[in-house]
Amino acid sequence: MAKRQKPPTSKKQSTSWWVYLGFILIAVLIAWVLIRSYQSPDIVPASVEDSYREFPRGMTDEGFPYLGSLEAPLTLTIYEDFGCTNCKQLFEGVEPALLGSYVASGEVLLVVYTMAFVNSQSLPAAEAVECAREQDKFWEYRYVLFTHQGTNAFTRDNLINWAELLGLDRKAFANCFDQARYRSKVLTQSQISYQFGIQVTPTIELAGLRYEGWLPFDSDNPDQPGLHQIIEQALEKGKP
Amino acid sequence: MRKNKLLYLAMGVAGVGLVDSLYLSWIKLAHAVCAGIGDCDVVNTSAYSEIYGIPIALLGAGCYIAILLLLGLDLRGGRWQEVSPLAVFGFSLAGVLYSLYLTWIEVAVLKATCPYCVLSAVALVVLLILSIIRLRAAEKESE
Repeated sequence: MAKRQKPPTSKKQSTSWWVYLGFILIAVLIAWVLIRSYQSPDIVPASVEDSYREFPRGMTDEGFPYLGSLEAPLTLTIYEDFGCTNCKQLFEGVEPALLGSYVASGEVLLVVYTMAFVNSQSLPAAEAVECAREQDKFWEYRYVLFTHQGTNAFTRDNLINWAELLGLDRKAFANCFDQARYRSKVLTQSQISYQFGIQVTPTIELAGLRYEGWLPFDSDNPDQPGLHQIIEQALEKGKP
Repeated sequence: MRKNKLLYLAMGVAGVGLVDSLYLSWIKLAHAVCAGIGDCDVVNTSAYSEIYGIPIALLGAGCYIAILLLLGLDLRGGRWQEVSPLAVFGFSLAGVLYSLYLTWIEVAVLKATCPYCVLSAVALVVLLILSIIRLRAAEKESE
C-alpha cells in the first residue's frame, strides 16, 4: 500500500518536463506553420493571377490600363483612388462578378482610371501602381494595394516589398518610385478628371452615364439598380 | 477551491475570447463593418485575415471552443484533470505566438490596429498565464 502511494519523485518530475517540452514544441510548430502560410511569395493568390491572365490587357489610346476585349460593345471605366474604402468595397464585392461574367464573355471592356485626391495614402499608391505597370503587373499590384489598404499602410518600404513579392525587379521599381517618375502624370490626370466632374470615388462610367459611389453587382430594387442591371440595360439599348 | 476559481476565471476569459472571435468571423463572412474605434475593418479585410480562404477569426473561435471544452472536462475530474491543463497550455501558447506575429503585422505592415484582435491576443495571454499557474499548482500538489 505504501509503495503504491509513493512513486519515485525524481522520475515523475523528469517525465513531466518532457511532456511540457513536447507541448511547447507542438505549440511552436503550430504557430510556425500558421505564420509560414503567409510567407509564400503568392501575395496575390495564384487563382487571382490566373484570372487576370485569362483576359487581354494593355493600355488604351488615352494611356489607361484595360482588361478585356477591345472589341467589346461596352466600355466600363472605374475612377478609383487607393485611399478610398468604397473603392476597395467595389473592388472586392463587385469586380470579381464583373470579370467573371461580362469581361469574360467579351461584352465589357474594363478600364481603370487612377486618381489621387482622397488622403495622404492616395498619391504614393497611385505612383507605385504606375511603376508596377511599367513591369506589366498593373492589375496584380492593384490587387495588392486594395487588399493591404489601411492607415499609413502605403509606406515606401511596404510598396517596394510588395513589388518584390510580386516578382517585380525591386531595384527598377524602387528607382521608379524614388524618382517620382509618374507623380506629374497622376496629379495631372486627377486634376483633369476632377475638372470634368469626377469628384467622388469610385465613379463608374458606362455608356455615357456616370454612377457615383459604391453600388452592388445585383439589386432587386428597381430604383437603385446594381451594376448587373445597368449593364444589361446598356447592352439592350445597344442592340440593333 | 482556489483551483476551481482559476478554472472558472479561465472559462470566463475563454468565453470572452470566443464571443470576440465569433464577432470578427461574422464581420468577415457577412462583409459587415466593425463597430467602435480603431482600424478593425482594415485588419479584418487584409490579406492576412485568412489562410487558404479560412478566416483566421474562425480559427481563433475554434481554438477558444477547444479550450472551453478542455476546461469543462477538467471540471468533471478523473484523468482529464491531468491532461486538460497541459492541453490548454499548449493551445494558448500556440495562440499567443501566433497573436504576437499578427500584432506585429498590424503595427509594422498594415499600420492599423484592430481593438477586437488585440482583445483576443490579451485573452490568450491571460489564458496562458492561468494555465501556467494551474500547472504549477498541480505540480505542488503532486509533491
